[in-house]
Amino acid sequence: MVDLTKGYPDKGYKIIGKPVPLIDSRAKVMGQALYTDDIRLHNPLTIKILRSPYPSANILSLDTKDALALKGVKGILTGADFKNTFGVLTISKDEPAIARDVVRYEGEPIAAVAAETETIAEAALKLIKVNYEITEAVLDSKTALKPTDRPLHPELNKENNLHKKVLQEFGDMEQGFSEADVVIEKRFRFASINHGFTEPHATQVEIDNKGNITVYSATQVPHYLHMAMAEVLEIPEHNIRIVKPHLGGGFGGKSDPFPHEMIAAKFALDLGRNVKIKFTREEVFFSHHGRHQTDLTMKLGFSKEKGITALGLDTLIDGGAYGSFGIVTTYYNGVLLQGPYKIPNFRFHVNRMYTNKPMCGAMRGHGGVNPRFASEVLLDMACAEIGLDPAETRLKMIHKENTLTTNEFRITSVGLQNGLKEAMRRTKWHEKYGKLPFGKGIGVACGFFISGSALPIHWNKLPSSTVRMTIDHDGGVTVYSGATDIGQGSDTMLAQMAAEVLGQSLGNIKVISADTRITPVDLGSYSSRVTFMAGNASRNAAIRMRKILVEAACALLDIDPPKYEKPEKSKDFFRQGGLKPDFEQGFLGPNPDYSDGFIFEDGLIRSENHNQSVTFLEAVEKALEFEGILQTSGTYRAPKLGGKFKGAGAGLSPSYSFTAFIVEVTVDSETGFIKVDKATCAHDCGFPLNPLAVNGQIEGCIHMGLGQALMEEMVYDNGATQNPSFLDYKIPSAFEQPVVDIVPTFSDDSEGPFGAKEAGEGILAPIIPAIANAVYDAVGIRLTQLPMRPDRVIFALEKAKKDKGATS
Amino acid sequence: MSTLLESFNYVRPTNLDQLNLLVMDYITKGYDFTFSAGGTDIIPRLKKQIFNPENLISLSGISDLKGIEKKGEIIIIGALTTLDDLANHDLIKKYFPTLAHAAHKVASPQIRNRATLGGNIMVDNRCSYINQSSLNRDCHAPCFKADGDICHIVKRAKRGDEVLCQARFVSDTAPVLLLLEANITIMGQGGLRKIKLNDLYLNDGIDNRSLRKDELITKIEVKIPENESLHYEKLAIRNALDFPSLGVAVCLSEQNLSVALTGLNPRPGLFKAKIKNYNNFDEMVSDICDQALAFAVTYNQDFFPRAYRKSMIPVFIKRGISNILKEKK
Amino acid sequence: MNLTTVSVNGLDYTKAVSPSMTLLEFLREELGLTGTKNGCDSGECGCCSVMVDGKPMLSCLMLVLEAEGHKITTIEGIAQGNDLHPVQEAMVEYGAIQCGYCTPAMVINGVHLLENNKNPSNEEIKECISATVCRCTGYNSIERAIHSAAAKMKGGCHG
Repeated sequence: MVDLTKGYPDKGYKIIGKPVPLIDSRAKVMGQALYTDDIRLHNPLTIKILRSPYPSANILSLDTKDALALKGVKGILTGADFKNTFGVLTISKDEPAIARDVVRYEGEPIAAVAAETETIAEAALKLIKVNYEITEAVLDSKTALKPTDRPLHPELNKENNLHKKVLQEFGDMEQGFSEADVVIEKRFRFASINHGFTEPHATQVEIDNKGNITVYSATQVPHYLHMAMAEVLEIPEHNIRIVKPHLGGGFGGKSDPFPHEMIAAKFALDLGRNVKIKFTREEVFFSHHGRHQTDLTMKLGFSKEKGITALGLDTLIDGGAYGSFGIVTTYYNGVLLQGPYKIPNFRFHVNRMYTNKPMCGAMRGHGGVNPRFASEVLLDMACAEIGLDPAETRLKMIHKENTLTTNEFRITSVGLQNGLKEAMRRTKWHEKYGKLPFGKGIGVACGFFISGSALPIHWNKLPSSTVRMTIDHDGGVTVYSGATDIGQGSDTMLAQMAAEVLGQSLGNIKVISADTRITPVDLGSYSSRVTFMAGNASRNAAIRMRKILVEAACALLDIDPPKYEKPEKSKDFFRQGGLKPDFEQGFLGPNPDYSDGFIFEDGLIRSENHNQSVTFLEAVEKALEFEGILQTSGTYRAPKLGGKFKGAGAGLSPSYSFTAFIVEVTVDSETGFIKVDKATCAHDCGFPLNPLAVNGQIEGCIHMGLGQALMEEMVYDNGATQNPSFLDYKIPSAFEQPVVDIVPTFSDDSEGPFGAKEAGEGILAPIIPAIANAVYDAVGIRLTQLPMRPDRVIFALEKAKKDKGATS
Repeated sequence: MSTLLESFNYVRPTNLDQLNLLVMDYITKGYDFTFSAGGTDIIPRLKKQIFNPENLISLSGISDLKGIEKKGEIIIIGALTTLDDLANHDLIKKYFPTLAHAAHKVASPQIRNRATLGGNIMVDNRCSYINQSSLNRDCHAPCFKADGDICHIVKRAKRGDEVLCQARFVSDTAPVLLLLEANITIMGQGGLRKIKLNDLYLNDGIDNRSLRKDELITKIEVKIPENESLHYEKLAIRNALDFPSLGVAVCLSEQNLSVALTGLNPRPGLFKAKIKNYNNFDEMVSDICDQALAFAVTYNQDFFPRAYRKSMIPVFIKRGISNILKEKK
Repeated sequence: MNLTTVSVNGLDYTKAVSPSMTLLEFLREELGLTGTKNGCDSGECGCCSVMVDGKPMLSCLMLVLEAEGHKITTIEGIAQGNDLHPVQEAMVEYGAIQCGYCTPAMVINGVHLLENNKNPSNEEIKECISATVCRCTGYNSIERAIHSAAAKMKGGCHG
């Protein structure tokens, strides 16, 4: 195996920065890891959901009598059984667990059956009689803009189907465009795409004889599910325990509370029985929550001397029937353009519309992916028009460290420049760009993403993440975290933190995660927040534990314990909105140095000054004499950030990641097929905690970006999902995946745990425009619609030929 | 939305005599039944409740229907030979490398380990309506293929039309076998009959096979070609799993050029040109492309739009020819 | 109901089953072998791959009655006790496992490839995993793992 640490600085860590297989790999590779549907509860009922065949209808009547009479049917729920609606965002709780009176999308739950067997449940569905009055459906976001007296959500009191409008403007757009050497405006269109996680949604609920329920669910957000479920079921949160078993992929698609989770819990409570539900693949597509179908027009002003002088965009996103994360998506369509380059004059206007289609929500790269495509293609066009090298131009424009963006994002660490330079060297950029034969092309694009949202979705003053840590009497360390391992390896990351600080092997660290009865609150796995936030919390819990053990060791060695100093912070840091001094946390500032004059290794705790040591176990035993139990907590609190204007909170993050891609393609000009031959990626994730995991995220993002670029697309016909299967929804196979070259790229983030930042999402966006720019280099066409299907390539080639004929 | 199969009676005869007796019994009693070979085409359709047979007669226990042998200049392939066995068989690789290639292009490795050549020849025609789930189909009135009275692909279609249902033919192996002038042996209550593969197919998307209910294909016979070279190319967005959006097989000999098409109409297309009838080679190619284009009826019922699929026909024919010429050199 | 005997991981199981039961349902619901996953139930994701007489097939597209007389091997039958198969070992080592939902199928397909092909090319490795959807890894690390396992199984140095 190649040395994955090569190219990164050696910081002398034992576990951090080393390629470590994920700690649950062995269970997974043996088929022993239990996913939600693999759990076997005692005598569960099976739940099936009756779904609407119409995208827009009124439910005139619903007759469940015959279904209920069927032997083995234990219960039926309809919309009337749920008073409260819900939603992941407090500001748009617009989704019912089961449609009540009105159907808003094809596939929406109309009723649910719990029965002794799946066969009976299915038979019962066929006996439910629904009398629908089919109503005119709003099928696209343009139509949704038109005034109507029958909006999807009359409770919003709007004259059309607008869900959220965001308009922000910074600087002087007119001035910006007037300073430009070239101004380009173009319309871009993007299909809606699906997460395509392999494990369909599943939930099982276990009930005890006191009316408490344990909900095992394939969710990225146990905490939000916990809160939503308590509200929908109108029972206290402490009666509900949410447990996330092993989870087969999320990518944002399991980051909302879902109707089936509410339905399952309600059945368990009502019937006093354990219950289970699992979606078919088709139901996953009907539920969707994927990337918004987007129609955007972007205008770029570019000056040879100054770089980008102004950038403006008008965007219409099709949200589908309900809110989901949509308000965040709406903001992210604009604010995530604030990097990686300085944009002095910036304006964005985004409308999210309600339509009679399955709702859209968060998906890897949330909201930032589509506008990133547009901006990177426009930048490429500007470079081509002026005759600048697009890679060199980008290199010059990338944010410098410790600067503020135009909308007052605090940019701290930036390590992309060296990565992009190295990518250019490795790909022989200057020998290839513009010089390859017709059909072969090379392209570049960059991206930028948050390392966790600094503000919580549900406003509160709790830390962003908290981790509890214990040590057993025999020295075993356990990390308790609400962070949700969805396959990205967050459990491993938490264990690495503890192992490094406490000088333990990874095998000596147990991680218990995502169980709301046992683990402290963590907001979940979304917005690439886990490494930065839960990682810091785990590190801090371990540092507190270390302090206790060092004091115990000192007592055993009869030496004075070290004096801990608060880390010094520059005035600039605070001026830019750094962490407020936290007296409760004492020395636990952001990413504190824990050098204490002791070395934890080989089962020993050794004082460097006294050259004396005790064993780790002796220190543990001594500490237990003091404490009874060995337990610490560690927290992470995002610093106070951002400007004072309305909507300033969107996109605020304690740090940002930066990405560059150079992509090489072959375009078959007869068939229009684009083959991505090679993708060279430079991703600044700060200091990579686990290069094996980081590289896995990079390759996975390339796969997903490739899918959106070339073939993935949700197809609707009159509101009906046309391709709800893995046969018809085209996820690239191993054959389509390119050769990947990962350029070691890093920075040292002063607040990230051991210098780390996000690596799970930001990588996805720039691969797509890099492909489009390479296609331009190959055959001279600009594609402005995703997916870049072969027929669109052919169409563009023919049009280019005609245009050329007309001008020559 | 069903994951469960509707209930049916399952029988697995272990030899042809048993099979014949069983079929005779079912026919006499008027039972509804269907044959299943590998099951990889039937089971997804059963799950989507596209059809619900009362009896499923599994052919998988009949070893007489498996295997490949050479008799003189004829290669005989048992209809139950799996596509994987076909693609990797020495005789096939030696004499019909293009057939091996086409078999290899079907679906996925796991499916090819189970799916049979007979099943691929008989694969049910597909369209963007009928191959949806029952929920999706429930949004609309049933189509002709679902015993209804409309077509969701050709909105103006009506009973009495020459071609009622435009569900398209999607076999990858059939076009190659057609160019090889394969014969198939059909067994039924009336005994055995042998026909040209081309005569199996009808231009009817509902059921494009001229077989009676009691009939099944037992073997496929192909004569070893003397001076012919073949090429098969498949249009699909991915290199795995997908059905052909278009499949073009080309066969070139000293005297003839022939082309077979799949993925378009309810039946495969087959066109022949004699070199001596043309002034030059290019004229012949152009004529056969025109024939193919005149035949092809495409609708928007696939990942690719209809115009694109049609425009790829001459591209693929010419590529096939140039590949053959390249290999000859 | 039909009485059937199916050999799974070397043991014969006799059960009364509905004729419409798939092998996948039988493995998961009747035998509790939940290592074989149900990702789409219609032959499109590959996650339910098991070996039938040594060849990978989709257990969701096979009736359990069709499995009678054949030897079924599931992911639970690949490791020898605690000793992982070289493909499994390499999958762990190369980080070819993220969410892990496709992993059992990837192992089944990789083991079959290497049992029949000691020197697989890149193309052959891609082919063997081409119809098993992995949404996490982009397949690159799985390919590396299978390469490395091939080298290890030959007794050469790997890496």
